[in-house]
Amino acid sequence: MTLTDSTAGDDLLELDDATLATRVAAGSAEALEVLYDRYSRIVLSFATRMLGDRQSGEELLQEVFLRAWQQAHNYSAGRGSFATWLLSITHNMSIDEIRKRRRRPQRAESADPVLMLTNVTDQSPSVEESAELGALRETMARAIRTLPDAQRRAIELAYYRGLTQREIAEELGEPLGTIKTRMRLGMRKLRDYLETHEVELA
Amino acid sequence: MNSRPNEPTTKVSAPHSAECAFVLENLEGFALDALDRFERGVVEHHLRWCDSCQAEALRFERVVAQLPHAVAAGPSPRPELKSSLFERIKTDASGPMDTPSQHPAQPVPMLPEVGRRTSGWWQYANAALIAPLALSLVVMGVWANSMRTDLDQQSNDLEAQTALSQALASGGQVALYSVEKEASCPTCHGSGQLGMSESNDMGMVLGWNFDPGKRHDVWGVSRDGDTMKMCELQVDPTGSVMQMFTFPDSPSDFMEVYITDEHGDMTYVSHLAQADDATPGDGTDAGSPIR
Repeated sequence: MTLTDSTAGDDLLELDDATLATRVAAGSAEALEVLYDRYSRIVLSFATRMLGDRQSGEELLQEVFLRAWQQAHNYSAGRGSFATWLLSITHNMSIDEIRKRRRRPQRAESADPVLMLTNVTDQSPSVEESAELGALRETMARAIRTLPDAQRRAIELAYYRGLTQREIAEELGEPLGTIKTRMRLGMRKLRDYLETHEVELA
Repeated sequence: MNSRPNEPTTKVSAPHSAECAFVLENLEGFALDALDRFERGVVEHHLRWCDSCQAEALRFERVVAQLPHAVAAGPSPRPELKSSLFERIKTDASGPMDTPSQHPAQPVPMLPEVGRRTSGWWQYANAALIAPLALSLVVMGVWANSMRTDLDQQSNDLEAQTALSQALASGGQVALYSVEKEASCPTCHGSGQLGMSESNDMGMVLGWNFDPGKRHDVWGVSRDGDTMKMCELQVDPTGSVMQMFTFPDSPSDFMEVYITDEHGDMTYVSHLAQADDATPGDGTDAGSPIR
């Protein structure tokens, strides 16, 4: 199968993410389609994980790629991979939605994030997962497993539920200083692990 | 308050090393966007000019950016989602934006972008902000003391961190006052807070929306009616101010701290106490701290 860029006339499937992103910024919907085929599954999985249900994940998936379409000019390959950029958009939009839900109590809260990071890392590798993403997922899983439960939970509540340290302290009934310390130690441990294992932290 | 500025008595510039200590202790929470608005504002402000802290912050931002990769890709989305998306894109009149300044910057890495989720955090300052302000004041107070020594930079940092831990353990006492705009200057739109620590005679002005093109000086009016210059404010290009200064006497001897513009006109004021009041923070009228 080939997918041809109507403006450039070459096979888009052969192009790397950064080049495709440049094409998207120039207005190529075909280039975005290739990127969608490459990353829609991971975006959907992550959005579903963040929001707690697949329907919300599907809605967010569309919004994420629409935003990628509109803001492709903001992507810079020198600052990180396209997948990381896309997942960061997904995270930010998910947190916005979660915080909106918090202001609308009639909507269901997202899934309990307790051990959320643990659960995601327990999943089996998906079919057709790219070798690069698969290796990165394995490394992240190992890094997260190095964290004691209390540190991991503090990070989870901030990352998946968008809570501040103060809110986490209130929710867990722990002193604020304890939460700060747990978060600090956990994040440093993750950073050291990933840097030691030379994960491309960009 | 009709008295006008006299000669300066004290001028202390930004407390770099101790401020770094505070920021470095909060970078993990900052990367996770888990700081309170005030704390986040302090960190953001600091990162605008401190390259070394910026580099450290970037390390944590990068860790956070990798967290989504812990999730395994699941099943493919339903095909109709794709067709629906590209229908929308086809009819999206705006298309890819070609004017980056109108849109949020690339989300990863975020630095030195600031205010990524919430803008105007300063507008929500309230009593809940006292603790982090106290923290900042303590840090800066430690820094000021450390400046009196000949210790090298590294020693200063260590000393600051140690003293900070001790101060936090014992709980820093800081009075917090609002900085109110005076009608005398229609072109100024700033607002902010004044924090004072009795234990080390330190004060700090946190301000926002100041006119960076103007000179601003901070003055104090003592209970005896004397007016003393505390410092000149260093307003950054965005109009933000975070500046420490030392009171020449105990802060409780001051009734008022005000800020003048380059013409000497009073533009902002913090009322600390009435002439016959007791110490600041006793909860009376104009002298009432925010909390």
